[in-house]
Amino acid sequence: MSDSTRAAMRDATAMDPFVFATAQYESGDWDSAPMLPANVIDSVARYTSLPVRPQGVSVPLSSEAVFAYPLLFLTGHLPVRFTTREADVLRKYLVRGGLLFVDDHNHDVDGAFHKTVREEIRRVAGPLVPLPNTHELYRSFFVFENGPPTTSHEMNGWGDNLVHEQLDAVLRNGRISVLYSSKDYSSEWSFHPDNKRFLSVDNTKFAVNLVVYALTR
Amino acid sequence: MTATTPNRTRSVLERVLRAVAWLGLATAMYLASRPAGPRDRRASVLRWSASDLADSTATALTTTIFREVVAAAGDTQPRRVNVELTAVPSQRARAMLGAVVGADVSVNWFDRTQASGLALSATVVAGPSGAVDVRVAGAPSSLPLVLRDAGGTLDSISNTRVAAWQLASVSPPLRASIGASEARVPTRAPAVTRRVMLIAQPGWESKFVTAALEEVGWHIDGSYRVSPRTAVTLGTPGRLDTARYAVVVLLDSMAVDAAAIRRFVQQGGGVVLGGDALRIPALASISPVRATTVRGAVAGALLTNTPQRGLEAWELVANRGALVVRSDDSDRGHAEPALVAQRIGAGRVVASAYRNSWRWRMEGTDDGAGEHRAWWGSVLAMAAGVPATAGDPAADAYPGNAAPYADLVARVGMPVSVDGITAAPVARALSAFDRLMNRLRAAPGLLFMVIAMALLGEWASRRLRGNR
Repeated sequence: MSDSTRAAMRDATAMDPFVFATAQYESGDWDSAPMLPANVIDSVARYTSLPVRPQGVSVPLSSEAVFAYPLLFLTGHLPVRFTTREADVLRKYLVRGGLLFVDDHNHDVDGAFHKTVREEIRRVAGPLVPLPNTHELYRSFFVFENGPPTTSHEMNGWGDNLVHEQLDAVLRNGRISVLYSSKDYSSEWSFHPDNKRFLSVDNTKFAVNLVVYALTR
Repeated sequence: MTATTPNRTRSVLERVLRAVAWLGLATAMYLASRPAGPRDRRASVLRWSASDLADSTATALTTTIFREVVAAAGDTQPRRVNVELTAVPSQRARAMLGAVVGADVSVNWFDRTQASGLALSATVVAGPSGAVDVRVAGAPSSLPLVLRDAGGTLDSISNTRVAAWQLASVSPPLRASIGASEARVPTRAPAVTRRVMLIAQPGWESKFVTAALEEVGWHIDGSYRVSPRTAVTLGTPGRLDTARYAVVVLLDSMAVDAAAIRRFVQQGGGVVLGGDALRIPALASISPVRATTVRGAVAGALLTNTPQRGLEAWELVANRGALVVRSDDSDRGHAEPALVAQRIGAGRVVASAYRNSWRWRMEGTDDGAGEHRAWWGSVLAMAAGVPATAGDPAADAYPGNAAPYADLVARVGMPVSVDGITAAPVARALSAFDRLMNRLRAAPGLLFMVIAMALLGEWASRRLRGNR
C-alpha cells in the first residue's frame, strides 16, 4: 500500500472532530462571552484525547444548521424572546437528541435574561427541574463531589449575591436535554486560554465534563 | 254460410290460444321439475401469467377476474378461469384464487412454476443447548438444496432430496429451497439477553447509536477512552461472552481484542461492524464484506425520501456466501450494498455501510429520528437473531406460508396439463330445445306473459261473439 493510499485511508477513517457551537438568537446579546469558546476548546484539547476543531462556530438558532452541532451553548444578559422559527427549530433540535447549555451571564435570578429565557425554555422544552449533584454529569470526566463548581462571581457577591447549589435541567429519555446554569460560567470561562497558567486550579474543568457528557450520553 | 265462417275461424283461434295457454302452463310445470342441465362453461375467458410474487399482481388479478365474473353474472353462467402461473403466487394471490374457486368459478391453473412439494420442519431440541433440529424432504432434483435464515445461507447440498441439520441458533424465518420450490418455518426466536457491548470512540455516532438502541429496548454496556488515563463507562461492561451479551457493536476503526470478538461470534454471538469498523484489519476474517472506498454523501439527500444517500458510506463488496440484506440506489446505475449479513460459526456478523449515521437522526426530516432508530433496531435484531419488534412472529404467521405450493394445491386443486386443457371440450353444443328451455328458465316472466296473453285473447274473443 502506498503512502498516499495510507494517508487517504487515514483521512477516511478519521473521526469528525468535536465542534463547539454557540447559538445566535435575534433578541438579546448572544455574543456576550466571546472568549469562552476558545477556552472550552483549549480545555477539551488539553485534558482529553478527543479530536476537537480549534475554532468554534456560531450558528443562527433559526437555521437548521444547528442540527449539525448536537451540543449548543447559549448565553446573554438581555431579555430573550425566541422567534417562532427559532422556537420551532430548537424544539426539533431537542426532540432529535441535541443538548442545549444555557448560562445566565448576569448571575442574577431577578435579571431579565434569567426570567425570560426560562420562560422560553418552558415554552419550547418543558419546565426546568433541579439536577441532582450526584448526576453523572459531575463524574463524566473530572469528579465534582459537590455538584457544579462555584464561580468567582458567586463568591464576589455580584449579581444576585447567591451561591447556586445546583444546576437545572430538562431531561428527555434519561438524558439532559437542556442544562441551565445561574452560575455565570460565561464570565468565569471567558478569558484567554494562555492565562490559565496563572490559576492554581483550572476553573474550566467543568466544561470538559459537559463536552464529554454530551459526546457519550 | 257467410255468417258461420268468421265464427269458425274465431273458434279455431280460441282453441289455438287455449292450447298455447295449456302449453305454456305445461312448460312452466316442466321447467319447475326439470333438473338443472349442464352449464355452459365458457372456455378460457381469462388467461393470466404471473411472473412474480408481488401482491400488486394479486390485486390486478383480483380486479380482472371479478370484472369477468360480474360480467358473466347476467346470464347466470359461471365462467372458467385459466391461469398460467410462472411462479408460486404470494399468500394474498393464493387466497384470492381460493376465493374465486369458492365463488363457483372453475379455476384451471397451468403449472409453469417449476416448483414441487418441499417439506421443512424445525424443532427445538429439549435441553440446555436449545439447538434446532431441522429436516427437509423434497422431490428429486438436480438443483442444490439450500437452507438459509435471516442471517444468510446456512448450507447448500447438491443432488439430495432429504437432509437434516442441528443448528445452534436460527434467525427466523428459516427457509429451505430447491430451485423455485421454497418452504419456510417461522421458528421461535431464542430467549436471548438484550444486552449489547458497544466498542467505539466517544463521538456523535456512538452517542446517537446508543440512544437509538436504548429507545428500542437494548441495554448498552461500553467503555469510551476519552484520554490516555481516563475511560468513561456505559452501564456495567463485563467480559465478552454469549451468556452476558447478545451482540457486540463496533463503530470505529480502533484497536480491539479481535480474538475475543472472533471467539464470541464463533460461539453464537452477534457482531455488528458499522462504518469505519469495517476497516479493522484484525476482524477481516469475520467480516462479511470488503470495504473499498468511501462513497460521498449526496448534498441535501437527508431531507429527501432516500435519506441514506445523504450519509457517507463505505462501498461494500460482499463475500461469497454473504447475504446482501439491503441496498441503496446509486447514481452509477447499480445498487450499492448497505447491509450485509453472514453466518460465522454459530453466530452472525452484520455489516452496515453508513458512517456518521447520526446525521440521519439530527439533520434529516422529522421522520429521521424514527428511521434511524428503526435502522439500528433492525441491524441489532438481525445480528442477535431476534425480532426487530416485540411480538411473536410464529403466532402471526399464516400456516400456508410454510409450504406455498402445497397451499396453492389445497386451495385451487392440482394443476392441469396443458395438453389436457387443449384437448378438453371448449363448450358443449346444446340442442335447440335445451337452449330454448335455458332461455325460458332465465326469463320466467316471459312465459307467464305468454300464458296470460293467450288466456286473455281467448276470453275476449268469446265475449265478443256472445259466448261466455
